[in-house]
Amino acid sequence: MRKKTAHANEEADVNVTPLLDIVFIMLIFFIVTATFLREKGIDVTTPEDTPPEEQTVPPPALLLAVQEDGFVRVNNVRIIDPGSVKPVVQEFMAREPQGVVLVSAAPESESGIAVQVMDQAQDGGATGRVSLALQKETAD
Amino acid sequence: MARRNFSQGGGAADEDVNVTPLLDIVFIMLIFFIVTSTFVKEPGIEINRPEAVSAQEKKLASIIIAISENDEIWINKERVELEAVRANVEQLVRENPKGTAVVQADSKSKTRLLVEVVNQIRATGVTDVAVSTEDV
Repeated sequence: MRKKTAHANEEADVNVTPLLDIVFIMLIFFIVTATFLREKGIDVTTPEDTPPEEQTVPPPALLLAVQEDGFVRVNNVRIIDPGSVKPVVQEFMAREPQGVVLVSAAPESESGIAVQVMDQAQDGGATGRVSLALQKETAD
Repeated sequence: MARRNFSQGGGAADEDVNVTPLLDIVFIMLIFFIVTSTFVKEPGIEINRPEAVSAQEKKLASIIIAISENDEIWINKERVELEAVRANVEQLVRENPKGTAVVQADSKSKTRLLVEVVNQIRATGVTDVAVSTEDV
């Protein structure tokens, strides 16, 4: 009793070897070219592109001016270290829940400081209410 | 005894290996890699990212622009002037319309450049722009 002749004559098998070859080559190509990019980041909004709202009273704003020397001036009143922005923002957000935070950076300041201030502001409860702008050249 | 006889019988018959489950798995892996591959054009320079705690994972980031320590802008392994950023970004948007933008600004670069690059990206209609950071 031979096994082969019993079934092979009825339906011939399709030769899948070339298909497998091509599929494997495509698979290897996509595995090699796959780049799983993991980027973490902070959203940046600039004041110009926020649409003008239909409200007559602008929301209360906290101005954090990043100076060229790396320090931060709060509401043009006092100067603090960029690492201690968070409690200032927390206090402001507790007082004004609808308030916005404007980070106004000097053009020649380091962007790392500006990003750190924005990060601290978001961490202090102002998520989605932080925008970044440049100071006018003629300030001071 | 019986087991050995069985295995010998199977080997001697010279039958084809059943490749159907192998094919199934290979096809599923192939489809997975086709779907997840995005072909991101990386700037090609190494930068020192600022640290942040409130950063979120950016998915579908396909437009990547780097600003180096000495204020050079790099897109797709080429140095680009500030005026040409917009044209380059528009080309990347055409290739991947659903992608979001990530600016990799070195923490020693000037804020002026960061804000101007972000404004240039905004001008092309990409609304989701982020600054790349790393965990503290």
